[in-house]
Amino acid sequence: MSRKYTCLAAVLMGLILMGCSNSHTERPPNVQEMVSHGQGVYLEFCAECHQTDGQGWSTLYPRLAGNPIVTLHDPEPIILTVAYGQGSMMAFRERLSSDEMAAVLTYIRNSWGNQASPVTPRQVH
Amino acid sequence: MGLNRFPIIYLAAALFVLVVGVAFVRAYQQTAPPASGPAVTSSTGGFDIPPEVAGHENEWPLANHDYANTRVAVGSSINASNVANLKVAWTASLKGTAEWGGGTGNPVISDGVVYFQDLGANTYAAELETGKIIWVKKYENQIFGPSGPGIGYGKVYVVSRLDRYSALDIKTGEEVWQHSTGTELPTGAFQPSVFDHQVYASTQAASSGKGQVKFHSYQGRSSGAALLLDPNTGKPTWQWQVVEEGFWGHPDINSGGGLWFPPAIDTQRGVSYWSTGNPSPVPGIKGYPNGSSRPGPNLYTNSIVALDHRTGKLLWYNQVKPHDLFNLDFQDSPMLATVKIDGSDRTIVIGSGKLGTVYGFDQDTGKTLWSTPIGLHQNDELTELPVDQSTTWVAPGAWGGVETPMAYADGTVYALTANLPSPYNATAFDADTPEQALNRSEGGTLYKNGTAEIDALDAATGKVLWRHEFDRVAFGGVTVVNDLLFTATLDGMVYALARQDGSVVWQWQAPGGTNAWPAVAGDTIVWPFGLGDSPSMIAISLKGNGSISTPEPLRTPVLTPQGG
Repeated sequence: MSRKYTCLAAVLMGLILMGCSNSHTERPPNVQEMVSHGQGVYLEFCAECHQTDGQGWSTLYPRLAGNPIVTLHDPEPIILTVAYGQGSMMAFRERLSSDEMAAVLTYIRNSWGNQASPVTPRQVH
Repeated sequence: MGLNRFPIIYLAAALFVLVVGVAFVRAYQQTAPPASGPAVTSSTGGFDIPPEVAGHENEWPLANHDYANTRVAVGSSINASNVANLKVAWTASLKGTAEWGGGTGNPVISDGVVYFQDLGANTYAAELETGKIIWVKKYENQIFGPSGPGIGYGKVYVVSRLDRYSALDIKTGEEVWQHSTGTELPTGAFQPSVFDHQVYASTQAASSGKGQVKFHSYQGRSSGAALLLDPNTGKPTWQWQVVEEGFWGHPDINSGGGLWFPPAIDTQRGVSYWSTGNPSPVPGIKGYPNGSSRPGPNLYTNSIVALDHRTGKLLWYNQVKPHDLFNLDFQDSPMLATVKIDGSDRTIVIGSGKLGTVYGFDQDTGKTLWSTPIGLHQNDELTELPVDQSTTWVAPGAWGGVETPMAYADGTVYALTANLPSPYNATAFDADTPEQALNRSEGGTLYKNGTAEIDALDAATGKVLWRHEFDRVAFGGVTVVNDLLFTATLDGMVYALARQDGSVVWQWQAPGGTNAWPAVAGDTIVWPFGLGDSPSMIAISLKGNGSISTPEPLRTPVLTPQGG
């Protein structure tokens, strides 16, 4: 009887651990979905300055198309810029959710000829 | 005893004469037109002018210098002969930023102190001469702008959060009171002005987002409103809502009538004049194309409105753009000007806005005396768009037309116009919400296709006297300093133009861009440059000794805005 319960507890523990493990493994991002979502976020919050063609304007609103900082292998600098702002650009960490921020970052890293890895909500959290 | 009675009779008679006389004079003062032009900052008409404003004509005590909103510097030593000697005197960092950068709106100056605000709502007092900061009141709340302080009766009044006005002690910056405009609807408050022991304030058609303090444009059931607040408590004396009760049949969708700029105030009559913003959705959303959720003229949007100072009662209105589809606000501060019409002096009300037409109105009735379209106009008179997925480019666009304040001096109106078209569609490409519809037209507006111009108009007739064109967009308003006009393009190129013909007398590339306009006192111009790497308030002065960069070489003009 005691062994039976011990085995059951072990199985349960294993299942719980598997569950915990799975909860920390993000599903691979669907880049197409993220780009589509990110385009909407971009049009709402970013295009006023950076423009729909990603070309920016003057020296005030930096160009995103072909901008090497946008497409760095490690997206941390551009994540920090969006989250905390820079110069006259406002901070978006309280304005956008993690999902929205990841989507818009994925969008600008994969639009206007840019090509870079997607950004996950976990990376911006 | 008889001797004692006579003095009492004489005294009673004298008192009677005095009372009747005072009543007569007071009644006359309240109805008589201004005697010496409307650019008033002194006490007249039985209404009180705050000590920070009265007699401070040589400084800049109100958002647009005076209650008539003329934007004319008085007593300045800057003119065409010495403007090239302007140098940077001091700079102050604008640390708080929001959607439109670090600084919009106007500093005010009184008793040698500059009061200004960044778009984090942080408020500063600095010495005009040196820029030394006297106090800072930190809020770190993102606000929308145009922003800036109003001063009077020992206090500085500011928008301290999207949904809140605050009064600060003018000497220390300590907060004295707060007044909430509501965390639901409406919100987005703008630069106050102080008159006759009251604070004029206003709101925009927006929501702070269901209890959160976030700016969301055009939420259903939100309306701009004029507010009059008690300067000692912040308690409202009266409130006048721009949008009619019922929100034109669909309160869940419709909104509008934001009040973006301070009113003009006739300090003798006790009447305030407001210009109101557009109705929403612009132009429509899924299921409601072309503004069909809001049938009719959509009163009182895109109107010039006269309100009684003491009661807030609507005295008259004139709606210049009924049922607007294209975000063509009539939002600029109205100006009061005394001009000669048919041989006699007459005070008129001058208004304009994003619709790109300047109007002269009769002060007593609001009747249109003249109207003059300026700048680029393209498809803006359409009353509906095809209900399909096609795009129609409309000018003035979402940020086009007379976006920023005008000026008036010596019979001439000066207006800066942005020629900047925006893309529209009957349902804003099946937008789900009015805010999404707005964002789609604004987000699709391309600066590279934009230009700007200043037009000088005869204030009596509206006739265009001259025009100066810029090769890029500009949101720097117009400010008159003696024989010069000052403005700036968005990228921070500051221009001094000759008032006589619009020719460039001087230009200077500031270290940042600007979507704001300056205050002027004596030999100093204080101007927010809130865009770029280092948003700053910058004072340029004839006594300055800081570096000032060489004007940018002649630029290649950009292309005329495209049609689609």
